[in-house]
Amino acid sequence: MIGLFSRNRERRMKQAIFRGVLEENLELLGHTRPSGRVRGRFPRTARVVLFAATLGLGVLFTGTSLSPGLFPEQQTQARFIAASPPPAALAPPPAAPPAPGLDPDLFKGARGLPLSRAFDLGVKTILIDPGHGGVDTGAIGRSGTPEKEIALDIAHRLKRRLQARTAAEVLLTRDADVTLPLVERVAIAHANRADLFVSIHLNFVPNKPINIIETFYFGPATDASSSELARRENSGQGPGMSELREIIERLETQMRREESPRLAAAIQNSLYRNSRRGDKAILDYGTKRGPFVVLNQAEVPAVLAEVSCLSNRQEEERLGTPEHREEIAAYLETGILDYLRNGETTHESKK
Amino acid sequence: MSQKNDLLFVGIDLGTSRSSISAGNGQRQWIESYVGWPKDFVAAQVVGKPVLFGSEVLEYRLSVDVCRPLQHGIIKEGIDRSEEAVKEIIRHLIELAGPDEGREIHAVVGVPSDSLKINKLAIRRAVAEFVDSLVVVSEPFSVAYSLGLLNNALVIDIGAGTTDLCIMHGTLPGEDDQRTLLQAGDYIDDQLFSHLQERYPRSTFNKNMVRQWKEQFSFVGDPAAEIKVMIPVDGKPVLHDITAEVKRACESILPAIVEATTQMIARFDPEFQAKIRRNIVLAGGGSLISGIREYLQGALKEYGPSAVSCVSDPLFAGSDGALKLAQEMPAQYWEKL
Repeated sequence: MIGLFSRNRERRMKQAIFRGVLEENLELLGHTRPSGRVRGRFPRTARVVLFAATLGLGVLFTGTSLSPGLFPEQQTQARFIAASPPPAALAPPPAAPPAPGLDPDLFKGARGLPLSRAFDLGVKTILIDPGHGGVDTGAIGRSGTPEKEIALDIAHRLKRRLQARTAAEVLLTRDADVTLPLVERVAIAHANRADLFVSIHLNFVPNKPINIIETFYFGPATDASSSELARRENSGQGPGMSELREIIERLETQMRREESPRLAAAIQNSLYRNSRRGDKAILDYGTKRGPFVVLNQAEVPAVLAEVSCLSNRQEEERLGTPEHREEIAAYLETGILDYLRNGETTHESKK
Repeated sequence: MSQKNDLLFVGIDLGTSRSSISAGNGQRQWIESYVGWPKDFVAAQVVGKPVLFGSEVLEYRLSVDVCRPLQHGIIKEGIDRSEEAVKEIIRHLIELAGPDEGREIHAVVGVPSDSLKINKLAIRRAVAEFVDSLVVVSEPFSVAYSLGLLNNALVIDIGAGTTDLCIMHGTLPGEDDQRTLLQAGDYIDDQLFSHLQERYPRSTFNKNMVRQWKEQFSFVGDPAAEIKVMIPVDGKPVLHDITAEVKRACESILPAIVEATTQMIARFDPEFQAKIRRNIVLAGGGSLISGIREYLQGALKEYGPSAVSCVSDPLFAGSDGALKLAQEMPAQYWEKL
């Protein structure tokens, strides 16, 4: 009798699994799910709360990593943490960090689990912002290539790629050569409830024949060249530098503080390491903070990627080929997907 | 049933390091997941084939463009020839299974969890050309299915590019029930390579040699014996003790696995947590690391009684499970696919 009961139960489970396999694969083929399927036994919200409590919100908010690092010291530490009992369920979260001003430490400790993963937040909408446009040409290469055109073309390619590989809706702030003030770009992000904001630009270094890649997230500039670049990319729109200072000091959004540097790091990693295969002399200027208007007002993880350098003559020539623009779009895509996976870099960005 | 007899069911495990096929006609084959294309006309003459697989790729690696399409668990679409390489691997595996001409093939393909999430369409594109009906599932799920672990079980599949964890609870595991770590076989290779370079700066060795040492000697905990290998120093073979480095490299993946295991169990319904802890299965090449089962069981002990076991045949556990699923799935479901 017990054997019969057990066999029936197994048969029911298999039926449920077959249905699940069918639904998932039909979905791949473009069919919608025939019926809603409950995944797991525990209510999703409860699981998220329990998971957050187990992880310890303090760990996330202070940016302390539980993951083992590459160094033995970190591994030893991680082993101790993993081996100790989990924190009490539903323990109260620690007090929020002191509010005004930017605590530089918050930018340093971004090695833990990304918040998007920790809280199972979905990325439903990705907004790509091709820099400049219309009367605002952006930088112009020595052979006359305008930044606005290259940025738009790469943005279109990136959109196509992300649409093919993610379930997220991918939008552009502009899909043609039109003038679009910075505040309107931010308004588009708000109106569409964008979850990620990636602004595409090209660098211009007038006095040096170099090719550089750098990626910015919002914050006070750490060097004079970043301030100058922000001034140029802001194109004189939005508040003046003195007002920006106040805005920076009011910055409190935890998500952006932790997530934007992660997104910037993933994109920069992918852009630089992959671009280097085609141009061994390319320089990695890394991720930086910069007071860019579009980054400040987007309330989600937001970065501005200077994906190439128009002042470099050879690079300008390469940017004229669709293959190279497609490559850059692919590297951006890889960086974004790396970030979405779990903050870890994939092989492609390590290469 | 008569309809089923006209079909050849195959289960394919498309792994980062090795890919295998188990077919309804009894064939079981595997290859290393490397694909190589001759670099130029001269190379084509040297290798004598338009495309090479597995160990042949490594043998002729200087003459061919090497692609390991699922390195780190995902297909890098559009960046290199990954998608094309996946297609070649599938075609080759199906050829190895020796299907009768004209016989319809229904395939279940297991892929790394992240690849299932990210490369769904690419996988379908790569496989669809060679089969008549296709189902794609995650690798750890197909392992669980082969073992009949459908409920209250946790599969930890330690592969080359990724370690995939998957909780089974009587339904098809969703994204919430699966987790992927990059701490896996390749990570151990990188660690071992760097530890050895640090300790023996004058010795010359490459990643391939390091991978072979790992596969031969990997262990965690106390060593059974000293590990000594020949490595050239200024061209002269010299015996090197690599025991401490192998131990350190192999143990480097454990903190992340223990952490992910405890977190995944902790987020599950508390009533079933104890059952899952007593039903943990290690799969993939990493399950062959000596002492890893005992280590994990020990690490989980303080959370309550735990039982960790290893699959008996890590190379074919995934493809056997995929074949079993293919054979047991109702015919009307196949028709819809």
